[in-house]
Amino acid sequence: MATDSGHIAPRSVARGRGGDLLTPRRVVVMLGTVAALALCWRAAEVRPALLFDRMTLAAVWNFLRGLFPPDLSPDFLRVVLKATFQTIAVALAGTLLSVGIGMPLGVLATATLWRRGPLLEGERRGTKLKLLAALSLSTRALLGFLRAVPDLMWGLLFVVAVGLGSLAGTLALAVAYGGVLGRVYGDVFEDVDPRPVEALHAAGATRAQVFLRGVWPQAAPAVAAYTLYNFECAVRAAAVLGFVGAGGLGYEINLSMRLFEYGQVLTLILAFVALLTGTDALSRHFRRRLHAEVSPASPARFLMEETLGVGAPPFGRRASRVLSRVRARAVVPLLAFAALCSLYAVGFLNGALLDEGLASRVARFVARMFPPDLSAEFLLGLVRPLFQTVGISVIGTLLGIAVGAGLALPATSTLAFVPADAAGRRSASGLAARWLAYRVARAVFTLLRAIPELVWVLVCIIAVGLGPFAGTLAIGLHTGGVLGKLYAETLEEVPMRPVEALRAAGARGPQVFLWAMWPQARPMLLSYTVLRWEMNLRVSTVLGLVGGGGLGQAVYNNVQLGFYTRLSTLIAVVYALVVATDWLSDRLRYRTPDECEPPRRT
Amino acid sequence: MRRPLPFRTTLLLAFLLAAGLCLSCSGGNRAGQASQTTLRLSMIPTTDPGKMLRESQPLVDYLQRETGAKVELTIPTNYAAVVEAVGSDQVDIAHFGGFTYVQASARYGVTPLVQRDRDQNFHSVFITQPGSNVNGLADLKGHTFAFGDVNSTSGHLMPEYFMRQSGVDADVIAKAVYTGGHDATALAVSNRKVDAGALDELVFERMTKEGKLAPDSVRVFYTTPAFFDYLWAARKGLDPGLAESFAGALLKLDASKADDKKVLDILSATKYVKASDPDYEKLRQAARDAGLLK
Repeated sequence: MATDSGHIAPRSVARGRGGDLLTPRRVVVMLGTVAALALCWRAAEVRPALLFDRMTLAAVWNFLRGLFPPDLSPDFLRVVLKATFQTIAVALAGTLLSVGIGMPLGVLATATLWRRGPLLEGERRGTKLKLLAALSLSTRALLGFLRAVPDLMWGLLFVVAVGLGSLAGTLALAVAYGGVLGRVYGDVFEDVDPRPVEALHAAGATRAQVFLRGVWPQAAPAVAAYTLYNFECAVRAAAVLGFVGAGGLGYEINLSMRLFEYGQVLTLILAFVALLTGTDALSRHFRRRLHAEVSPASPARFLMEETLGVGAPPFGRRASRVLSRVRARAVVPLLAFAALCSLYAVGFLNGALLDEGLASRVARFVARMFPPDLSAEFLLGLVRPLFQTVGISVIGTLLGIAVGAGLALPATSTLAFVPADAAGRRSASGLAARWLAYRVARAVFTLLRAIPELVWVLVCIIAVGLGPFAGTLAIGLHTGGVLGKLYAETLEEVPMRPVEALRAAGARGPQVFLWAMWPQARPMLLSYTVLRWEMNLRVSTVLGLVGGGGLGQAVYNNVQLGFYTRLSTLIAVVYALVVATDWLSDRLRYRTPDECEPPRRT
Repeated sequence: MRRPLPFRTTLLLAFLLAAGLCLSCSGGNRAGQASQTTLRLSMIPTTDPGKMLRESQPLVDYLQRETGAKVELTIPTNYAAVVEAVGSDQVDIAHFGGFTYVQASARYGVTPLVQRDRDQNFHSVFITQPGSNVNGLADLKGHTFAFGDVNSTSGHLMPEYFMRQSGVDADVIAKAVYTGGHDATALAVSNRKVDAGALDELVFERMTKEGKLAPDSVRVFYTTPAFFDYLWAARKGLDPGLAESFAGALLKLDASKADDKKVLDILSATKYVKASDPDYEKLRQAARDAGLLK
């Protein structure tokens, strides 16, 4: 479906007449898509009948009944509190370290500093410059690699390399998000207004001076805002990393799930949702203020709006500036203190740990992964999990589209609540029903979205058993929540003129949607969906770590058995798969490769 | 150019400050270390990780008293991480399953210490649904099958070994799913997600007793011959005196004494005996035959 619409998107204006709907090329594309979907369906082992099986329903019912009442005993609350703090500590320390990794790599990866643009014009192309350019290019490739390998896989690797606990989680976050941040920083540095840079260069400034005086002042707010956003993602990731043994809430959820203590699971999930909501609110608040500080003309501002979805600040600019100055005094020591505490909590300030050669242990582990196992027997065995992974992501995303689209319509406020004077045929009961449907749909989105895919996998395993089908359902549920919210928001944000015009002409809801909203929103909806599929593919490579099928199972088993040479092959396969998906997704969305990565909305 | 903005700068400063303090502290802490001997234990949960994790204090206290060392107990859920931790001197004495012990001894030369008496006479049970037509290993052909964790002795290695021994269709083993745990295997069978599965006899008993598994939802159709399973083993290079005193502390536990009983209960044990490497020869061979050990 995605493939098909990708091809017609740019020509949608010309597509008015029905005659060119069935060109031979389009028929081939459609047939190919159908065949691919059938293959995915098979690979994901989808068995819809199983959903309504008596045993499945009984298992789900048992699980739901087990959730209540949540375990609120003081002993357990202490465990929850400790796990929550551990998760925060891992997220904070991980973000801090990832900034440390991402910043130098990001500077190095900035094309306008080392590879092209006005800075390099007129300079002699000596060996040194060529070397720097090559270094910059390879840094970019390295960042791509760090980003492509899912954070959970990094987590599993570090758990084995440095031991169980929060340190492994912190390092995994540092590496995975170091890659993300490095890439984003590089993009931000490249997108700054080139005029100050050129002026400084013309005046004879060195590369460092150009960066510090020309690039950094322009880029800093966007960098800070993205870093904050990244912290939000890191909190979620830190909790989930526990599933592979890296401590925190995920570890406890996994444990309680294994012990059938579903009441504890509910408490933990509530704590998790509270944590996420809190971080979200905090980060949004800070980002708003950062946003207020950027000049409206700066490209950084556009970038922030684009990537972060930050609107106008709640107060006037002057007022918020004064407020920010007052609070900034408190923020520095607070932030430093929190950072210190978290570094301590995850074991990073423990001198013994650094002494005993953390680096050497990691190095030894990496050394044992080479040479990669390329035996035919092993590679052939990977074909099936590879197809499974792709199948899970595709069918899971389709399921998510179905769930999201179905619920998005009642959740769109501009469709659900029509001004009373529209046509005078609104009954009070109809309005109440719409209001209820709106609230319910929004609540369902929040629930589906808040619970990470990996928890959904565990729940789905209870329902339909181990394997790719559980993974597919889990992705479908989570994606349904994410996409549903995005769909509803996109529909709400389309320019209202056509909508109002149609309404004035007496159009009803479905007509308004079909002729005013859909044509305007389509490119955005498509873009969000494809982007989500790209992310789902990444997720589906790790679902197997908890029993959701695909490549993750092979990764887990080979780590457990100590066959590290196979592990390197598997990582290479995952990397190749993710790169291929990125490429395909770029093509589907007609995105130029140098554009900044849109936010990882989860 | 606009003048620098306070908030942005302070944010940056905060990060720098934190990084600086982090470095200076890590230098300072180093000097204060290494006063008392620390014994770092790692115990893979045999029955109930949550209970172990949250109620292990009496065991820790007992061992501290007996060995005179500061005892740090970690309850991991990942076997491979324990093997690596022992290999890189992060853990001194670990509780291994039979198979993980064999892996650790092949890779890092660990020394066997003690085990529970029942560990020398361990079994796996094969379960199926009451109404199924599987009544022995030979009937498994054409059915779906579940193992536990790939690294588990009683949940994977030995069941697979006995299945091969009795000539079970190779396809059953090749297509088996790995549930990741004994309890998950039991649940998968009782919920009819797979036709049959193999798991640790102790876990099976506990789950039936505690009502986690309805007695009429599964039926045992095969119990394996006895094999050696769990044991405590010390990393290479650990002070032999310390290892001795640890082994001695466990060996002298007596179930008839109330205090000792409490410690034994945490370990799901009644009595400890010495463990020795030659006992694991058969297991080692089984792992090699199955291509699970290089």
